[in-house]
Amino acid sequence: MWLKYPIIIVLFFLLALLQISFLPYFAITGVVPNLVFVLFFILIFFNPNIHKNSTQQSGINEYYEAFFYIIIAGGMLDIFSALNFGTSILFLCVIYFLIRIITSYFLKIPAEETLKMPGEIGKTKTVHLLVYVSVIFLISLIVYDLLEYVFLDFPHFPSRPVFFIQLSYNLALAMVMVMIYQGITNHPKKKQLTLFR
Amino acid sequence: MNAFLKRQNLRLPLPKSPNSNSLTWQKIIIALVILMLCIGFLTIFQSPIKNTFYYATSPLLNIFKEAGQSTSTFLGGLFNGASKTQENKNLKEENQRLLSQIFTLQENAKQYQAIKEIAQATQSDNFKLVIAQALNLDTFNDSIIINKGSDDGIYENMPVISSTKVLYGKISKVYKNFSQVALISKKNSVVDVKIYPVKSASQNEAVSSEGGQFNGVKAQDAAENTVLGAVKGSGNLSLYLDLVSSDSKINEGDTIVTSGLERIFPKDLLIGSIISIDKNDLKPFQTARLQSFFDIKSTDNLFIITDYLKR
Repeated sequence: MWLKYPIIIVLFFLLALLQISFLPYFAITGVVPNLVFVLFFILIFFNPNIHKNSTQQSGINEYYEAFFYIIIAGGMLDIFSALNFGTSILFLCVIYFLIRIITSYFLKIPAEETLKMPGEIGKTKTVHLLVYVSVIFLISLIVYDLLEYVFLDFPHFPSRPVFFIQLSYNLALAMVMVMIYQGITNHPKKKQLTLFR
Repeated sequence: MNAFLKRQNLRLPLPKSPNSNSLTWQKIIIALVILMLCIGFLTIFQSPIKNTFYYATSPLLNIFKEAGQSTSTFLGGLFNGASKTQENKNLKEENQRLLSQIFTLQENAKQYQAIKEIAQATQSDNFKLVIAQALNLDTFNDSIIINKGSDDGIYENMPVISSTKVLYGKISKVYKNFSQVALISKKNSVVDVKIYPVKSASQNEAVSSEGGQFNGVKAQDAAENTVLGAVKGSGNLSLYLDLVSSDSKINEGDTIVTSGLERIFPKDLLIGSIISIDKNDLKPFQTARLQSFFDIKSTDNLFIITDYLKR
């Protein structure tokens, strides 16, 4: 159980390296996908604690885990960019609370089923899941980009085609990573690793 | 989608246990404060931290960068095969076009150089010149075709020279845009010339430098040493000197220039130099074989003197 945290740190590290050294050669009109943000979103969104019914009390463990992801992901983004330390961490804090609010108040999953979320994802209709995930992801990404442009790049907003390409490119990779995550977490119990339980 | 979404009143849930809820919020606030302090600390020392991180990860970054480069090149070749072929074709065409431009520019540079030389050479003569290019050489008839004709103000018998004032010949036929030049080596061509003795000039200089009786009369001696004759063409770009009196003293290496007496060619245009002399006491005139100064095969730019005949 404790092994998942070092693995997540290594994953964030590798994705950050890929993002700055491998993916620039596959940039589309200068747009490079934000893999660290995508992994952060997946870990936050598919965290079972985040889908608790709003009438239920959230546990402190949820916040510890969420802040762990925020610090690691934000730290990696800040280290490998020209931003000051803490900028991405603060932005990801905002994104975390945004995801939490959206999924808490609009998600129709009974409380007793939320804890089964990771295992039950494989039984849901994939298309519905992908559409739902993609909508939340796009909202999160738009808010993240707006935060960046307002606080860092104002008033040089990107052109519409570039903004559209940025959303599409990140969304495509996010869907791929969601499918990979779903494949990893929905293995039969006998063969499933207990890392993420 | 409806399986996941529902409408819900946006009311905050009432905490069941106020004490535990406030404790949770206290912990959150403390955690946030600690987080802000850590961020502040890291910001102060961000330069050495980032530097250490880049130093430690640079080998991995290089590996990923090279992998990205090679993968990108491979995929680019796969997907852009057709466009690369077209791009290659376009580059070849552009290369040929640029080579042609370079050749044109080089020709223009040669022309400019020739104009500069002739301007310097004819500075005192004030001739009106038209530049032309030799298109072909007919060694059988000793003539060349140039790319200027009646549209350019060219008439028959106009002298044709090079940028270094070497006489080539005269215009023999004029067409609308081209003209034929009869070289001075053409059979039956005759040009009145004068021979500048090179050795006598040097002897005069030596005597005058010794302070002898010829001192101060060098020009007169040079004029007295000038020998008149006629250069005739023998065909195949060859010339010979004729009609030089047997009494006149000429030497190998003497320079032959036009005399201007027949009023066709201006004076002092270079023709050639003497190679060998054929002197026979039984004949009234002596002859000499000449080395002509004009070189048709390496000449591109020629000049036609258009206003000499009018003077």
